[in-house]
Amino acid sequence: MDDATQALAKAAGLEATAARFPDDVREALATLARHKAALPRTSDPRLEPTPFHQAPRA
Amino acid sequence: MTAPHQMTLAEASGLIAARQLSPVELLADCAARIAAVEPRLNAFIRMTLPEAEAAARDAEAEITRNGPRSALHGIPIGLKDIIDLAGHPTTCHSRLRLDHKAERDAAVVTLLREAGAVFPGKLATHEFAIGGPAFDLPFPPARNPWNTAHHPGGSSSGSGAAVAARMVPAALGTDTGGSVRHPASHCGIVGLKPTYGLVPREGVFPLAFSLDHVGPLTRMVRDSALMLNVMSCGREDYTRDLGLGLKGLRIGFVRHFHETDIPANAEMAAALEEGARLLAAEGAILTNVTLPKLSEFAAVNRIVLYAESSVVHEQWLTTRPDEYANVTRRRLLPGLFLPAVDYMHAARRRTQLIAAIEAAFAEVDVLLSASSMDPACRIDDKEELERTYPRQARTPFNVSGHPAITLMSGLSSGGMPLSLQFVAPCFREALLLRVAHGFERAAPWADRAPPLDG
Repeated sequence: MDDATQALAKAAGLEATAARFPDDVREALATLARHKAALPRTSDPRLEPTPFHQAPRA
Repeated sequence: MTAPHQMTLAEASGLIAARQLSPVELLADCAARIAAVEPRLNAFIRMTLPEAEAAARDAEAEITRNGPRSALHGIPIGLKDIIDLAGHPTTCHSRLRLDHKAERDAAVVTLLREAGAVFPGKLATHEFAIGGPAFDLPFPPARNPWNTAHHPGGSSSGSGAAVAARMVPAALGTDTGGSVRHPASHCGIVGLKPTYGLVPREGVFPLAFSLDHVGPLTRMVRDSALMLNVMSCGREDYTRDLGLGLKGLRIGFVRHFHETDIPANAEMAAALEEGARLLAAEGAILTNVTLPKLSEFAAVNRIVLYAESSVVHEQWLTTRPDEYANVTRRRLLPGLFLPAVDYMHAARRRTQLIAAIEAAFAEVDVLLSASSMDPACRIDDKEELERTYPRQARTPFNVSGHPAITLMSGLSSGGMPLSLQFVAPCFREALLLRVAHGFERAAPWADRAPPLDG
């Protein structure tokens, strides 16, 4: 595992998990990168998340 | 008389109300069916038959005295094993939860129990409703009744297999990225994801709070309506409009989901076109509708899911990671590496995606789309599982909270179910079920049974 990945794992509290499952950590980071690439990002400051309390409820 | 286990929920319920079928007899016949086919399907991970038999006897006595409490009185219902049943473990199909014991019923189970339902067992799931199918867990993965070499979809895999195999007339599943509708699509049954918040989630092990839904899996649309009557705490009678037909309804066909976003298997695409033709023949007015691309919905769904599941699994992922199935660990780990800014981008984009679907409903009454893009593949084909699991159009409506239903639309040349999906405005489940029922009558695929007895 490279230094950058190790640093990310340490920051996430996953040092031991990363040492035991380094391929899984690499795959997790690649998966995240793939989804981030598909996500449009806007700098519009007016756009807000839909809070849970505004989600449809019975 | 048809064997009781072969009856739909509505058929069994009608005979129970007419005192022509006893809940004890129905449960015994379902239990015999389970004993006969379960070794090939692995749908159940725990049987609770003694309690169910006692409840069926109580139901029989009460119905004889006073008549049924509801259409579910004396009906056996299977529970996905992330849903609490008092006095029993909710294992989530995981070795991390083998020593768990539920102190009380989940809220939705309380509603069903008060309506008189009985609970014969807990059903297989993908581990924590995300990791599967997997062979490195304490229980084997469920199999598809249409071909036991194939997977049944997931994560409510046992629920789909048990209902399709006529082991129980109905089951509960949960749906965070499509997990009720996926097994329904692959097992040739009906899977309903109600509007977000309509069915209570208390006592259901969470995957992602803002995406999680509880829904029924049944053989027929009417059965789903009867289940929702109880699961929604009697909000309305969802059978009310079933017979109104499709004439004049405006149906928006989201073709780009399966034509360009994720090009579907040819047989699945042909079944969708045939479904649209049948709807038009019934008097519906079909138009094409364009929504944001599936890849955007999928990205928002996954990033929100990673963030929300990370708080549930952080401790186990840091201290007991080797106790997960390999696939579960890989699917949960991204959440612990997710920057807050990405989560907020996803949450903000979610607002726009919801608005896009709401705008579509200004022009049409319901939406029609693909559910899965492929029939179910072999359960032992890891590469094909990885390729086909994300090829679906269900996650948009977990992101948005709109109610959605999947049902069978044919059989592939390989004998596996094909499917389609309808979506309605929030809290318009009566309309959604009306459209699904109209399709079901025009395309009576629900009469087809898996070839388990052949």
